[in-house]
Amino acid sequence: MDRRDFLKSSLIGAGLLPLLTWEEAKAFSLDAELMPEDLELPPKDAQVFNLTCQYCMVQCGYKAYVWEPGKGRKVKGAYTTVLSGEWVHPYFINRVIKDGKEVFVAIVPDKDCVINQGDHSVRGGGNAKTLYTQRSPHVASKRLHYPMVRLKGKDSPLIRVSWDEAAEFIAERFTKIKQEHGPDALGMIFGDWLWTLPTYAILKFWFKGLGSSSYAGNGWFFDEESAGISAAFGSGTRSFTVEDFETTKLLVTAGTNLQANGSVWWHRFYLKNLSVGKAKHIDIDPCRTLQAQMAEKHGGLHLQIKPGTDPILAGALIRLVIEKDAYDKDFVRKYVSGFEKVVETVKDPKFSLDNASRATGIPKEKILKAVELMIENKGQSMFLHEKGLIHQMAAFEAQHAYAVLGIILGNVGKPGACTSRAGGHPKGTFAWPEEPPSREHNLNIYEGLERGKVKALWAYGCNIFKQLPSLTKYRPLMEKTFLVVSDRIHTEMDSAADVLLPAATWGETDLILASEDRRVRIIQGFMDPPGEAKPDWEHVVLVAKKMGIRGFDWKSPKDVWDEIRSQNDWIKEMDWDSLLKAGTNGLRYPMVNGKSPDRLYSDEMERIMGKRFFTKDNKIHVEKITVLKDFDPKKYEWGEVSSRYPLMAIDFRLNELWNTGYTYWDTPGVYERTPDAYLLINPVDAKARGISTGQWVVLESPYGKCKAVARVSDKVPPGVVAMPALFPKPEQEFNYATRPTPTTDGSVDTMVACEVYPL
Amino acid sequence: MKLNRRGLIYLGTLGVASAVAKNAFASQAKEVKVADLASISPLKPVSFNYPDEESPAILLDMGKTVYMGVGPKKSIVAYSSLCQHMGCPVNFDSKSRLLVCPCHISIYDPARGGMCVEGPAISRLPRIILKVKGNSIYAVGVSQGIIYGRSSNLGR
Ligand code: SF4
Ligand code: FES
Repeated sequence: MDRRDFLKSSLIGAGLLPLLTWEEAKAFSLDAELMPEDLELPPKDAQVFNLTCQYCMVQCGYKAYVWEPGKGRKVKGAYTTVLSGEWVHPYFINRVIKDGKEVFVAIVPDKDCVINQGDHSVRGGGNAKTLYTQRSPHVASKRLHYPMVRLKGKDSPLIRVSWDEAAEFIAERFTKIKQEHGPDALGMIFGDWLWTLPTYAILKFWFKGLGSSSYAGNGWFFDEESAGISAAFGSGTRSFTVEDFETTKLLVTAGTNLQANGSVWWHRFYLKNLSVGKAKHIDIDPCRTLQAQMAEKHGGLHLQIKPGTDPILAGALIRLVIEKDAYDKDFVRKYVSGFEKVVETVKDPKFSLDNASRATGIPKEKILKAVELMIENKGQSMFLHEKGLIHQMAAFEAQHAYAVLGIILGNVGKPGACTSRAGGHPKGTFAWPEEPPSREHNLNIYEGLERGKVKALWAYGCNIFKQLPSLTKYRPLMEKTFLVVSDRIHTEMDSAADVLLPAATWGETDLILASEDRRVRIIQGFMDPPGEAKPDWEHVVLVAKKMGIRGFDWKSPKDVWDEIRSQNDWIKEMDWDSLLKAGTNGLRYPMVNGKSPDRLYSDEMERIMGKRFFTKDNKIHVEKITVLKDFDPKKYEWGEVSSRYPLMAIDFRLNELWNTGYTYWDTPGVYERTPDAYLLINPVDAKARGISTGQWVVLESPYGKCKAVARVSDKVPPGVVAMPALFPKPEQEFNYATRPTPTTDGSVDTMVACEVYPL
Repeated sequence: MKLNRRGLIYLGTLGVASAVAKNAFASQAKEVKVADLASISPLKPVSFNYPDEESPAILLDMGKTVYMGVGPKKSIVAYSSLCQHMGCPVNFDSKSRLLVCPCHISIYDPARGGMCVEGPAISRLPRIILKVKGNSIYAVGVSQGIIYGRSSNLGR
């Protein structure tokens, strides 16, 4: 079979494997064969920079090695061994411009970083491939190079201007809108995972500089995604340390697929713990993911739950633990307030085993086996949850209920034991300037848009035509506003933007981020940004100055950091130089007198911080469990399932895409895996609709539609379809079909009743 | 773990192999006989080394015509057997007809150019270019990538 025949044949029936479309398949033969044959490796005297990955919350450490072309090392034969973390994959190397000259750079996972020890995921492995280089016309053409504005309204062309002109233009319009309609007419949506320095800059400008309370994060609208867990601990901060993945006896994941989006954590758990029979894994997920399959293969469980019914399952598990008198009595007596409310709440008949099994779709035996494993491993289990709960109906209820389950089993603050969010993005917010009082009545920016109150929007490190819900309805409203975009790349926002501001990004300026296990690191700039791109915080400074707003005199990243850390006791000791010195292992927060606990809510924390929990009375609070009494799935999305919209759609994060769609997806080896968004549909539902694998289908909800390639698979149960979140292609974005209402905790809701039909 | 042990064994041999410079492989891509056609049966992997002893490879008859396949049915392909993630040796799973890395579960499809369909690997397995001469199969070069552990596919 030659190349052409192969490409044609791959379009038809390839079972459950990824399908190539014709358009993508071209690359299949060409790009990968163009890989270099003979690499230059970093020489001994290469310049070295400390980095952490630009993607997920695990925040693996990397090193950038920079050298002059031709001065690298050439090695014959194999130079390293299995799992050494020393191999330089050809994709780790790129040519970029530094100080005006072309250099070689190798971005290598750092084997001395305690988090990843030289490991990387499919996402981080592509870090170097995303770097700006004219040698890759594809990457270069995606980047924004210069400020651009539409001088005469939406129909006029975007033209290149100077930074000064762009700032002037924004300042004039903002001032006018504020004068005519008040400060809250100015809206801002920021990437809530964005680097620490720019995030602080925009929040300060918005709340203090402009006095506006109209804002949202890309994943949430009001309150916080951690509400259900902070209700218990007084903070949503992740409490474990990465080593726990190797020592825990039982991992319980609910709505978080660590294999695909906390990959290096899962690698450590799998290789050193699960696969060698030292630990078990219970995975609670509507989808039968690879992680779920591995959990079962190694003696654990996959609880394939009906989406959104987690509060019932957690309630039933709590009830069983209590009935068996198997909760950690010492722990509860010493540290927990409100346990009697738990006992009382789970007495409700809806938490009986029979009912829970019926409501969640999980066989009774599996629920019982799960309880058994949880009891057997109490005090030695990691209970982790994330967006699968947080971005679904009744987020608070689900999150709080799982927290209570983990807590009463004593899985708090011990080696290999925690009850915590897993996390999604790295931590980028350490100081939150005081919000204007109007916030109290101005929680939902969508409402402001709908009522015509929001006249301007600044999309700041966030693609608002992609990362927000219910876009079919809200995108046109956002398009009408005076739209300022700060981004590193061209996106669909170009079509409506009044101003495009090019951002210098990872590698091009000094940044700060923290991992979910609380390590703060400086990510050093090691190359020139393209064109006139500037760090996002400088965009804010320029506009603030033009508006005559004081308090934005920062000259360097260090200045911004110093202001941030002066406002947060947890990090105030971490000055720029000590952070630089701490390299890829960084410094951990909370830090008191140079000491930081490995785990929160631990003896160590009590010793260092003088308290064990962040609550006022230094206790864990489980009283809010009573919200479960009113929980009824039908009140939420399930109430919208009808003969017209008989299926429930959920989204999931794709390993090769998660957090990276804007950059890494475009590299060969990744997009050939998943050239188009796909929709998982159970064989029963597919047959009823005449849908087969490889066929384009439309997913239609009461709120809009999107398209995807069908994959008929029993990875999803009958009645449920699933598609990846944030797929980087037009019309393949699930958010054009999602619901407009944020969940009870203000986070964005991504379950929706729908119908699916062939395109 | 069984598969880990294989990794360790491999480590051991590597140590020896790299200590002794081998002349079996010239510095340029060269022909190495892998097997006689008659000895190859569908879905039964054959191990060999290419381009030198430090780099194990795997030959597979997929039983049907596949991308870049050689032999009478154009069904025979070969790949570096070291995972492109961190170098663990991959295993052929005859049920799914996929190459699976036991360390962090990267999964490659030998029928589709060795592309990675799951897991942390960021590229396909380098493909060993095969040639049929008479009744035997020879490895004659490497395409699409660099074999794990090396910076060049040329032999010592
Ligand atoms: S696990 Fe996360 S931080 Fe680590 S390399 Fe992958 S994307 Fe980057
Ligand atoms: S070494 Fe193969 S998946 Fe990691």
